[in-house]
Amino acid sequence: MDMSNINRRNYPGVMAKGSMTAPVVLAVIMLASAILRVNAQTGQTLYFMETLPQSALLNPAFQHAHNFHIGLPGISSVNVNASTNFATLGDIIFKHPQYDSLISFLHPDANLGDFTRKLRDGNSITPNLHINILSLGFRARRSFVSFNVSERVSGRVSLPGDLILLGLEGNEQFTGKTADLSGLRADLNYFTECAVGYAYRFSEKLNLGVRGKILFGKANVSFADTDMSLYTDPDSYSMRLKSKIAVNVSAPMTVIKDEEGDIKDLRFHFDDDDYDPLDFILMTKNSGYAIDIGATFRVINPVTIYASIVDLGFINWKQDVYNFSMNGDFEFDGLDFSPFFENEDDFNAFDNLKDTLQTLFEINDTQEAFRRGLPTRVYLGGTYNFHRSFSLGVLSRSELHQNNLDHALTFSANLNAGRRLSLSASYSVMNNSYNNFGAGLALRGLMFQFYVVTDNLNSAFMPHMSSSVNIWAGLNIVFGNVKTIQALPFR
Amino acid sequence: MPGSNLKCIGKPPLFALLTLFFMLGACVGEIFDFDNFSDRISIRPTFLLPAAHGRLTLGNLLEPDDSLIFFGPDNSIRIVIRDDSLFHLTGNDFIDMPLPESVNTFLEAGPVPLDDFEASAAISLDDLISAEGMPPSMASLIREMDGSDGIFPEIPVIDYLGTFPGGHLEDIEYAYFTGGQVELSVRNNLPVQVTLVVRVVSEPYKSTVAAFIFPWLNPGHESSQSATLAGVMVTENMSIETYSFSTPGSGGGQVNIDLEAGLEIDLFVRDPLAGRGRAVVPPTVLAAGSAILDMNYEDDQDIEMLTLKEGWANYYLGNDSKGLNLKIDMPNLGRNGGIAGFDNTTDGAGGYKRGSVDLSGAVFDYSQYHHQLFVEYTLSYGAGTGMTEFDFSSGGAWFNMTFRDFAPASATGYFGQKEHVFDDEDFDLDFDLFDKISGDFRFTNPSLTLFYRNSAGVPVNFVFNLDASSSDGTRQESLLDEAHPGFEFEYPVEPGQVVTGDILLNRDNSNIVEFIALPPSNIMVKGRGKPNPGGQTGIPNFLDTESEFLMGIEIELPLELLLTNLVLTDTVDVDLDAEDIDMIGSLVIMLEVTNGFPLGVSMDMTLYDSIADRALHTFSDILLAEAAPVNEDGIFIPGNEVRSEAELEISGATVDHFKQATHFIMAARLNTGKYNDEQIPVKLLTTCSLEFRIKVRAELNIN
Repeated sequence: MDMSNINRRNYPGVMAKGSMTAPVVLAVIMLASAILRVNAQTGQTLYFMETLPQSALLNPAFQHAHNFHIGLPGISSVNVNASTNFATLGDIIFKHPQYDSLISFLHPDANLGDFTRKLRDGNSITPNLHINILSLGFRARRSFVSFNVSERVSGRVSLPGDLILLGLEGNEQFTGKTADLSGLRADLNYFTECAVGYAYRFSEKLNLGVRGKILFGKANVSFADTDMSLYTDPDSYSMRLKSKIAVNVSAPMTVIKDEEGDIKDLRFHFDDDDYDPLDFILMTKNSGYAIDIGATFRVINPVTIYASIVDLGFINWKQDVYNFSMNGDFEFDGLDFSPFFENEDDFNAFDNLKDTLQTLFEINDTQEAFRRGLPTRVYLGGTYNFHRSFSLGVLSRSELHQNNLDHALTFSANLNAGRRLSLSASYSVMNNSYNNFGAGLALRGLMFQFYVVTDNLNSAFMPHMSSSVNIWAGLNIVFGNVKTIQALPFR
Repeated sequence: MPGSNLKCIGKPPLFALLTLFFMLGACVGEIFDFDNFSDRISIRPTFLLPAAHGRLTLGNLLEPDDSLIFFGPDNSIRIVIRDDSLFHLTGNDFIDMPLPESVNTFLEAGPVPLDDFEASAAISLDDLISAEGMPPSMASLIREMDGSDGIFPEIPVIDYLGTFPGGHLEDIEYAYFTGGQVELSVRNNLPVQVTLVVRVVSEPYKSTVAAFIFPWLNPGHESSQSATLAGVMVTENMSIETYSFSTPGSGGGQVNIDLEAGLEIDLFVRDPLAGRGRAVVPPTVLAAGSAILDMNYEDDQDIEMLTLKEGWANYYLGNDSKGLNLKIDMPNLGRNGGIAGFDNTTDGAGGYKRGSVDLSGAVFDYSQYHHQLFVEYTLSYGAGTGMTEFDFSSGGAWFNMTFRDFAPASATGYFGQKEHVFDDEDFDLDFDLFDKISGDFRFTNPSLTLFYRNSAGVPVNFVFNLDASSSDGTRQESLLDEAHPGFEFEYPVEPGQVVTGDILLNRDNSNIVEFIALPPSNIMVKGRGKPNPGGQTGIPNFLDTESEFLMGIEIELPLELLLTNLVLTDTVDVDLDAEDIDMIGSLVIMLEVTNGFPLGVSMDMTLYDSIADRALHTFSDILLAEAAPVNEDGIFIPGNEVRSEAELEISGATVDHFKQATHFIMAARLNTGKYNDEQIPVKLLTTCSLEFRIKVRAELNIN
């Protein structure tokens, strides 16, 4: 392959005079991301690794440099990501201040305040898993068509800071104030994704792509509505607990009730004698749809901007559905012994209190289907090509998830040394931390392309300073190379 | 060369990355050495909780329908301690009723005279010649001449001819006779003279009834002989054994020989007396007699008539004879319009007859037999029909009669003056509070009422007293002076009349204020009653079936108090879960009280280890409630409630003391409210109220 021709044509190495548009755009993106909340993200480093077919999962307009690729089950793409927005591992486990031992933040010699000071109003834990079962893609002139089937787990559990403080430090600090527990959220999805992608190069400047997805939900737990608070009166210590929670669940389970219709137990079907795992894997009743849309546009010769929307869609959860809800408002002023003095025989304060609480906080359950949207990500970014093989990029990633909008901002340096080696180094501001250094490596030998990418290289080497763990790795089988400039993905 | 650019850019970063990879990898191991990870945790959250609150009034704190607590229309409160039956006298208490003497005698009886009886038997010539002792040739010769005239051959003496049926007795199965005569009559219907020696025997034992000789008994003649029956046993079947049978024959003359003709034998028994046996016995009185049994009343008593509320006569008749009948009559003990007695028949089982006769309701009439019971008895036997087994070989029957459980239901007469001393009894106030308090306190207006109900026509003088000591034993008080003459109660003057009344003892006529202020513990009631304190007046005493004297006691304590450091103590067993306590870093219990009671309480609480016998910690002088002030009448005026706050802090070593403690010793110190800074007796009314709130600040220690 004549790489020199390609590079010469497209990367003169010098920014064109008077082309100030790109820096301005980049500056605006950086500024917006900095002032917005930054949270758990995946794939920022991968985004600009153009030789990898997996980059198209983040922008369907991408056409990688090979004519054909196959992803084999289980090995072609595994993406594991877990992150928190309030603490690093080092905030949870660290060295003893005096002795040669490792302790947790709950250790008696630890300063619990160091941990609680890091708590936020909403403290989220975000696990994600994406395993490619089967994928393939091929080029047809200006088009690139791809298929893939994936197993995906996405989720977010958010704990209100006041709830954690209540458990760790009690309610004394909340006297005269309301402990806001409304941020209690959970949204966990497990589904199978079957996608067909199509990318088309309209011109040398513009590429557009779209990916349609059919989703088959397996299990979901999602909080629909939460409004909880606790107020402690500073004088009487009386407490007012407001608790409004609605949870939708679709999972292979049955709710067991007692004679009075109260929920007694949950029986998971995995324990049934006649349970067949294949039924669960091939379950199609919880169907959904999603779409990815992407575009690349070369503004001027060294500057290209990118935009994509990923996972814009929903799943209709219909199978084994339960809707749990609770709405109680209870004020506890201590056990009232006045009735006891009036009629000792009829007095049973503890039972009365229990009955009151059971009535107020009775869990109602229905079995109505529900629809949940996927966490939708919006990527905006740009690159500046200093050399035909080297570029600097900036990428903003926004994720809309149940009225939460999370952002991440990534700066990257990307080296595409021919079609055999790609390297990328990144720095991200995300998860409310500023020490996220990422790296990516893609190596091709014959038709095998190995890659490993992480947004948090430091989580591997300095886990105590990291609030997230992220890795995307796999082995692709690729054939053929683009020989002309017209065939390159987006240049 | 194009490729050179790639080399220049690619190799140094790759090398640098690999170097950095290994360096940082080493750092990770250094930072997170999980072999030295300590999994200890310690969380000490602090929670503020409203534990309890409430409002209580004395009116709803005390149960108005309780038998102990009574509310007055003016909202006053009285504690009433009542015992409805301090003394309860019934007939037995007025008349110490004696039992009649017992009867224990051997009644001579037997033998039993039976009716005369007889039996008959016929022995034909054919029977005679067929007997085993008859020579066969002789028998053949005679048999050949049957029905014709011929010469009856001579039969020399045959020592034993044979045994022939002697008849059956219908009225005797067997009997051993002690007297009587047996007579045997033989009629010779043979054509020749015979000489017989016969023995009458009882079958199957072959015992001899009698033996007779009938010499030279001519044809057509009859001869009788008799013998005594004494010592003879007779059974229902008898046989006649024939000894020494002989005949001289017809002497060559022709006589009519008929094998059907023979000897007719009749047995007569006259005036038989049987000692034992089984036979039909004609009705016979065997023995009869009487006895006068003394009843030892008090010497000064003169009971004229007395009805038994309860009483039993036990008797014993010893004889094996089934059907032996003993009839007892007690002519001065009337019952059901007749006289009391009984009529019992032995059944022979075990050789005795034992039984009891209920005499309740029987009436003693002492007009003829003064304080005595007259008893007549008749022993008889036999019914005249049916076989019965009897045995009077011992000569009669043992007879014993005793009396028990006599209690009078009603009586008239003079009951005497015997004094009745009641057993000392603990009088349970059933008011546990007294057992737990010490210190100076006064119920300012207590009273004690004796109430009685008397339906016994007996004047009685009661002398009684209540003695008590304080719980620490240092002080003793009696309710009344030792010299108190006692109390005489009204009594009915005619049967059926009921008299009620009461006697009030208060601070003016008794020592009740000091008595209650002890406070009383171990109250002992002593008493004695003397009937007819004025002696015999000519008016008879009487009791009827409903007569009783019932005296109760009621102590009334109006809640008008003066308490000065009255200490109420109590000990509570403690068995706290050590794990639960370990979870407590510190605990502050806060009590807020708004007190409308003219009664203040402060408390000492001691954590006590009974195993080590030592006090672990004492929370001193915790002011639970401050007494509200009163007006000059000792009454709290609403609006003058007193607010107080108290805190009980449990932390540090005290937490461990809670774990060790086996008991809480609590001493509550009570003081009544003041009027113008001076303590006066206060009145606790049902309207007194108190509001409280308990809050908790708990620092947990979760490890």
